[in-house]
Amino acid sequence: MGIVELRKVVKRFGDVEVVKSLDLSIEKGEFLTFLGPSGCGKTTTLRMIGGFEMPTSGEIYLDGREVSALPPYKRDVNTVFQSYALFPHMSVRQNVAYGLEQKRLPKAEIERKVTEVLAMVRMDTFAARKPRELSGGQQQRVAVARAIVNGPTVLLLDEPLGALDLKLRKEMQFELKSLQRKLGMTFVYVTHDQEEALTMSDRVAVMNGGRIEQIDAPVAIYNRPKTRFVADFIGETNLLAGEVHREGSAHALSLGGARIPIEPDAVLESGRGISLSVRPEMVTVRKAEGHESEGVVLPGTVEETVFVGSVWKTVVRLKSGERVVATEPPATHGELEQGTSVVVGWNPKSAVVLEA
Amino acid sequence: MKRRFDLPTFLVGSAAAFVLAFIYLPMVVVVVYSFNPDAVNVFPMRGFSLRWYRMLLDDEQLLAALRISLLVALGGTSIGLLLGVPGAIALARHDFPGKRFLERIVLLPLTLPGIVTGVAMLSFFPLIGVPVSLLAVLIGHGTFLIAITLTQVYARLRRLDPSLEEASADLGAPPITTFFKVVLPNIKTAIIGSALLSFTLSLDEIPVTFFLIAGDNTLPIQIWAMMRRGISPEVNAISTLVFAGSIGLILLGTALGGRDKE
Ligand SMILES: Nc1ncnc2c1ncn2[C@@H]1O[C@H](COP(=O)(O)OP(=O)(O)O)[C@@H](O)[C@H]1O
Ligand SMILES: [Mg+2]
Repeated sequence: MGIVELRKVVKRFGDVEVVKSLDLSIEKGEFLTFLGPSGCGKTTTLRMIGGFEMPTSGEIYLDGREVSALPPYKRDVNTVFQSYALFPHMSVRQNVAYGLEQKRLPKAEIERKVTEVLAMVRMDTFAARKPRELSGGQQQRVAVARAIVNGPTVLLLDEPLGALDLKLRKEMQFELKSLQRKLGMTFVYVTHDQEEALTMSDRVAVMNGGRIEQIDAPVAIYNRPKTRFVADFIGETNLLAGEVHREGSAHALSLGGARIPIEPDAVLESGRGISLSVRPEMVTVRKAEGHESEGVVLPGTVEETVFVGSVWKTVVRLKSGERVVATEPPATHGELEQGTSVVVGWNPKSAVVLEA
Repeated sequence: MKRRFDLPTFLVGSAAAFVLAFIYLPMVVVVVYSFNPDAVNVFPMRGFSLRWYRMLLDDEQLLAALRISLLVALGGTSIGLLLGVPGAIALARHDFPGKRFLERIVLLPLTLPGIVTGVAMLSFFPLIGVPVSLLAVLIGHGTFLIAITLTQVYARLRRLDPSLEEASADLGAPPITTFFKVVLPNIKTAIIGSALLSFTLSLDEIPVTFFLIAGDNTLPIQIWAMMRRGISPEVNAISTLVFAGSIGLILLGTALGGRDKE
């Protein structure tokens, strides 16, 4: 059993089902991220683990104990709030000591732990300040310190870096990740930023419309998306919809008149509607002179080429009407003028077959 | 740079001066005459005297009225706080049937003419077994003072991030601790402010009091009774004292409010 378990958890606000029968097991010490578009139910799920919302039905277990109906102050969980929620009338030190005081630890021990954790987040020199005398990044660190000093079973973080500018956000991503490794603490993190989710997490749960569409390691989420939504939401991708054409053990996708070889995980019947997801970095674009017979070869014309520094980004309109985007290293070819006849191709192994 | 005559500024400035004079001149007259050695208000005065203040100290009726007024103001303010603060918290932080309705009608006792409230209470209180008395006055003042505390504290709570209370619970504090350690320090000045305002409002309330009082007069009613026997300079003296007291309370309120923001 995981350190956090959600069993058939449903949350309804009035008539709206915001979380739909969620099953989830979070391992001790892992960094798990809920990733999804705004309004998909990430915060609500996190708040149910924290005790701020009660599930309409289903159960939540923390460290083997059912907590579904327990208020937050009876759960061994701490939260880093998106607004930080630092107590404005208390100093940094008082804020961080608050949780330990509730546990009625001896004064000396509180003192020692607070000093230690403030040093850990490099806020020791700011201990006497009030929250409003700190920058956003500093407030964020205090919010993290105030939560981790209690040594919770699980730390919940709801878009903790959302209010910071890009550069600071990258730094804090790194700091949070190394803090989590050092403490070996279970982190449950919420973000709508896919890059943040992929760089920090051990596992990512991609949410959509109150459901988890896929829960996997970042590499698998990126390379082996299980649904159209995941493929589309994570990174950039080309989605081609068509029908399966099977000849013996060989599969192809019929697209207009073309047949694109595909390699699905299981045998698919002819005529079945599917989508093919191909990452732009897997696609090559060549002038339509020579004859390439390997893998996928689709004719088209260049609509646009953009130099994006590290890569050429080429948009090709296929004969069958679809747009395909390719990103290639600058050495592959020069600028391709608009209207140039080209062939695009990719290795069938690098394309993912999805339900339509 | 030379300052040129600026008509709009001049007009606004004069208007402001006129308004201030309009408000405060009568007060100044009262204060000045309270030190008049003569019984008739004529200017220039023939000197400076504390005669009326001395007389005041011997006026048993007036002093009794002052005591009653302070008692009513203190009691009314307490009722206002004891019911208004929890009411504001309920309105700002909880959902319950009839909340919208309550939000709308809570200001009614303040906006209705005092005479309406007074008559209404006069006919209602005997029905629930409260005779016309000091107790009735106390409850009467309490009812409209609740509205003051409730609206002021409610406004403050609306500006207080609710996730502070969640953070407190998250860190292991039960609701009572959260109230005293997180909510109260952040609404403290609103409570003090509304208490001071309630106190002064109660102190000079006439219409509601007039309907509910039996025998023991409050200060404003006593003064009003004295005035019917002709303007006594003693009234100037007591008015000056009440005025000074009110200013003191207001300054105290502002000072406490200012401290909250640093
Ligand atoms: N207290 C609430 N009452 C009613 N609807 C709510 C409440 N909290 C959240 N919702 C709704 O639930 C949906 C999911 O919200 P949320 O969990 O905050 O999404 P996310 O964090 O993924 O952006 C949204 O449509 C939101 O409007
Ligand atoms: Mg959210």
